[in-house]
Amino acid sequence: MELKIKKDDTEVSCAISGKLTYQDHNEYRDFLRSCEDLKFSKITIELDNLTLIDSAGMGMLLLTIEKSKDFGCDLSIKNPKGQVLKMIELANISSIVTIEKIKK
Amino acid sequence: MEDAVLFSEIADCKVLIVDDVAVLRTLIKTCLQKAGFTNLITAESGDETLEILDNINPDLIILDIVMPGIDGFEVCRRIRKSSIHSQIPILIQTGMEATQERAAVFEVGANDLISKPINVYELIARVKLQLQNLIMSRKEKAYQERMESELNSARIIQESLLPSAEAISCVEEKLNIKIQNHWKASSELGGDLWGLQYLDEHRLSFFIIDFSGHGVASALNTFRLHTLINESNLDWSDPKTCLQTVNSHLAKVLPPEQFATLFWAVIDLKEDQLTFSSAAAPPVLVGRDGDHNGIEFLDTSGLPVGVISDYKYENNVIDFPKNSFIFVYSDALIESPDEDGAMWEEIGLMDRVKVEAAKGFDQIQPNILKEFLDTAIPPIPDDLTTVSFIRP
Repeated sequence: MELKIKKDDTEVSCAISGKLTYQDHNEYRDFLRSCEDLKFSKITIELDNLTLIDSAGMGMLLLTIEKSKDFGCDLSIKNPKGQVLKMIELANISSIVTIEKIKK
Repeated sequence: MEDAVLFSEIADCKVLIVDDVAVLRTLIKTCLQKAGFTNLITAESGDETLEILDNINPDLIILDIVMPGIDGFEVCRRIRKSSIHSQIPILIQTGMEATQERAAVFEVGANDLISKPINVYELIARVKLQLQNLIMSRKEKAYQERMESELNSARIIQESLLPSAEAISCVEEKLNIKIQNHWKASSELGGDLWGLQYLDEHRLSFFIIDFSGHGVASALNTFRLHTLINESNLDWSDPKTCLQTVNSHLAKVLPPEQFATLFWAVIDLKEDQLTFSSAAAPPVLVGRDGDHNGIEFLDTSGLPVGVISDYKYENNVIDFPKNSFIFVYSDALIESPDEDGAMWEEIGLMDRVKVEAAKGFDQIQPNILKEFLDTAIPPIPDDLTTVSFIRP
């Protein structure tokens, strides 16, 4: 997994690439923790280049949803593809958060 | 830094000092005695060392190389080949200066060497180090053995949560339905569980759950669930309320990143129907009317249980006439890599199931499982459960 994080005064975006699995959870939690202190109005998670997600990875997405509620900010999950999209659809994540699919 | 092993733990370790020169034996013994070691034994030759080894069973040997009869190299080789003593640390004392000869000491299996003439402080430091390592690895081994034994006990308890062979055959007989199942944790304990209940003379209810992650933490969640199912008066005849009850309970107790996928179904032989509700379970396979080409995946999408406490699940009803089957599994079946790193995925599973189904619906579960276990690279990375219900 690789995280590319961009922050400005009001928004943070995080592009996750590679595989999001159990072994990434510490690094991902660090990212979420880093959002805690700053008052962002929006978090965007970009999944264009995420190729695989396992159940622990799904847990990280669910944790992000939970945390964004705690922070009182908007959350948008963008462009899941392939296996990641399949998992997100299977878990009906769109019932609790907006999944944006942008056609390229 | 504090020593992980105290001197008091190594002071009475049995040290065997081997040297053909009496003065040197005495010198080493005296040095170690002064340093506080209490359990010192001496031998005069390689032959004597090998003779007394079984009786003495030392914790460390300080061994001279050049001795009449069997020399230190040979003693070291024989000890390393011995089934009982091969792990004894050996400290070789050598007067040899050449690098190659010093390397030979390690080639025959010595743990360390000490140069002659002996430097007292070096001798004591090296003896301490070897014995500390020994005690440390004994402690680690004891810890590991205790953990293994505890996990083994826990595994036996966890297996008792699964439907027993008697319970399964009782349901099979009462309803004239065949049930094939497999459950195996990826480590000692797992996060998978399945359950079964006879409802009445024409209905049975079952579920399969897979907690995120595996190992001890998710295993504890299976215990939690089992307690919940047995303590709350769960209505097994209504899959959606079962999901809702389990979900609202788990949402309260699980941290946000933990969840479970759950599939619950009721097979009704009088109405020829199957009613199911699903929370992100891997797509379930169903074949009906003996039609092996028409086998299909059920739509099992739904929010995993344990995430949002008031999430509403739905019941879906499908036909389930005679000569039908339903095959449920945990995701390890389609997400474990084979030799080439490839996973079956849903499509691979479907292709294989269709092939086996042509031989008979009761061939699916055992043959799919066999192929999986033959081709997946051990250790299987996740817990695996498969259950097949076949209605003749």
